[in-house]
Amino acid sequence: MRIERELMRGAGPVAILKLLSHREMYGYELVETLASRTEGVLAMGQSTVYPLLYNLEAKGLVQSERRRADNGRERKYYGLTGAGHHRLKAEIEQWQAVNDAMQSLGVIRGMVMLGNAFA
Amino acid sequence: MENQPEASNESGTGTSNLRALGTTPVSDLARGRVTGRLDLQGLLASSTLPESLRKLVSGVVRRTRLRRIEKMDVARELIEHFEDGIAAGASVDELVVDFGDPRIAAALIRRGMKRKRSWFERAVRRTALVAGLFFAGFVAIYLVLAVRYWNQPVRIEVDYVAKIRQESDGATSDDRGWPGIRAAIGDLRAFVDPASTQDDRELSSMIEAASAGTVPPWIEMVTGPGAPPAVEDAPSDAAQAAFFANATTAIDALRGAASKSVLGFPLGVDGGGPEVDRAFLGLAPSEPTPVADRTILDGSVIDLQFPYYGTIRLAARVLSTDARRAAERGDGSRFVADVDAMFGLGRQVRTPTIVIGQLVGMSIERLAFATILDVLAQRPEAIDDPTLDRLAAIVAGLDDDRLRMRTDSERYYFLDLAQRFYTDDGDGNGRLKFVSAGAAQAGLVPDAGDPEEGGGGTAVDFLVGPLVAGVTMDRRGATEIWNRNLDGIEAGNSIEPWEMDASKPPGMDGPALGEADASWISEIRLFPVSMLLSATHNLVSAAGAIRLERDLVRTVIALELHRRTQGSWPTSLDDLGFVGRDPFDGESLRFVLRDRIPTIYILGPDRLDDGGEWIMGRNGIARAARDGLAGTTKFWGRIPADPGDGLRGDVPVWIGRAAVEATGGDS
Repeated sequence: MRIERELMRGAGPVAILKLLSHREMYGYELVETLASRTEGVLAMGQSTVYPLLYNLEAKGLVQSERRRADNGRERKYYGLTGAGHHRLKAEIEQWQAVNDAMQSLGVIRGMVMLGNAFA
Repeated sequence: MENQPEASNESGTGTSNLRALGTTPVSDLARGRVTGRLDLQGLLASSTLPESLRKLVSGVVRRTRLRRIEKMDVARELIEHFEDGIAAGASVDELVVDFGDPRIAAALIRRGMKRKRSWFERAVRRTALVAGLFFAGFVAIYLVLAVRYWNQPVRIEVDYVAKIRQESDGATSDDRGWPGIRAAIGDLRAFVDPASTQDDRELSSMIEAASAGTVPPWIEMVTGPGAPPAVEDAPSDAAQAAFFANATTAIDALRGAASKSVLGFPLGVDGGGPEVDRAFLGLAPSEPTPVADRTILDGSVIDLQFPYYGTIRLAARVLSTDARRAAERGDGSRFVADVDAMFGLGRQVRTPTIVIGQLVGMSIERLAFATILDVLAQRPEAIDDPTLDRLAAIVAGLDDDRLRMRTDSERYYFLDLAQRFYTDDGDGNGRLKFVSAGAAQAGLVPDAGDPEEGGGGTAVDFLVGPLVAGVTMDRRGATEIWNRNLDGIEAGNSIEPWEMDASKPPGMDGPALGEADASWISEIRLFPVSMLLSATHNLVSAAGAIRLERDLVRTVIALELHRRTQGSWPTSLDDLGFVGRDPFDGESLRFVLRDRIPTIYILGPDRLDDGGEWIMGRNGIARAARDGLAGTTKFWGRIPADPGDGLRGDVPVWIGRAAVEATGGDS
């Protein structure tokens, strides 16, 4: 299922923040994890994830560090900052509110929290 | 947190030293290190990516148009991305497809990377961008101005000098007073010092000394004698007597010359016309300006000088002193003839009708009025009744039109300068060519160039000229302001002093003046008119002052006639046939008879009738009245002066002699 661009524009950063809230990840890993954990719903083009990361970094929500991985290859790892954690919390509350509102309108059924999906 | 590993020029990529040098940041070079860490091709070559992915990375990175160090960061991350993909089992084709459109990727990456830049860096770049845009805009505007500036020539088409000279040049030799004045003053010079034929100083000293021995100013009856004039080597009484004995014929000739219809001085554009006049005025023989030294102002109204004003003023002083001496000796006819001749000189010198000529004429008329007031205060018995009647008629004949401030020729001044300083678009408009003309005249640039070809040609002119032309008001606007200013001055001829709006300088173009004062930018925009506006500051009150002085003299003559017919001073000026007006409120001049001394006074700056109590004691009287009624012009207008300024009390404008009434009159 393909998500409308506008909806993806709001969901993508939250999804990235959520993934990074548990551990640091590198670009390709983020892309793959996002695709697999959401069964492709929130899969974003590989060329999209890096600009998104740069934007989050510019806002001070994530930070990057280049280091050598176990396999000996150098990668740039991204992790959440304190501000990123605060922003993620606020975003989750907003998504929850949207989810509740949509449920009360009957737009969606059940209760699949975005946070649970990435837990 | 981000650490940039240094790419080594020993990485085995075969990078030459020269290439390493070219791909090393300046900051590294400054530290003496050749790092080659901006070597994108080297970085790609050192990766394990296949050629197609290297090209993809290279293409995306190139399209980002980021800085080299940023490109390296992006390239490194994309290389790692694809290496991770291959390591995870993805095919090259899948990676290419999953990556998406390289152009969109490059645009998004560029945007994201730019946001990562520091605020300071972004501010500097934005400032530089804005400055660049401003500069580009400035250059564009400059080019437009320059094209307009250089495409419009200066055209000198009207001979305004001839227009100014027209009034006197049209007179016949019999109508001209100047030849007689020149001859008379020449004779008088010779009487003082036969060796002095080109200098008025000796004659002026003689007149200065002689005037001290005649009827003094009326104010000195109250204040006592003033300090004697500081005349070095003052001629003795005997010398003075001898001079005036010899001078009778010359002064008669002077009176005759003053009665001519025009002055008729042959105005030249370089300080005088014929050599006989140049020699008389002490001017060097005229020599044509060498072609190489000519500027755009050659032959303009600026070159039109009026070297005779000093001589005419001296002639008036001769007549005033002669009139006072005549009154001392009881020769009323000679007194009136001298005064009448002074009015004649005032009339003559007002043509050409430039402002300075009007002011010189007014000063001569004011001297004549003061002479009459002084004699009527102290030697009225010198003037018999018929002569007094003739004097009354002469003064009454100086109607408002005769005394008005005329600016006809003054208008030509600006028009002539405008045709030399402004370009001509053929429709009466143009832009200021300040640099080409003004700078050359000031000697700032060597040559103004040929005005017919547009003037200028210097580097200063080329660069600055269009800007000056662009920011200053155009020719039509400047001319309109100047004409409105002169209209205001002429309108002042019909504005009474008590009606003037003292909140703004009289005669000025209010909006233009306000704009000129608003900021230095406005002042520049209105240049050069803004400079000329301030030069015409108090001209309106001058016309009002001379009218009121005339009316004061008429009042004093009427007062003297009343004394002669009634045998005593009146108790009020209401009994007279004519009464002048008080400049402070427009009411009749005030009169008080105290200890049989008749005094005419005006309210003074406080606008209150204090019954003739003078301001600031005896010195105050002298200070306020030394310049006659016009001595208070700066306090005229609708706005009362601040009563706290110490100027409480009235101002006497004429005080008669008690002894006259005690004798019962001489009529």
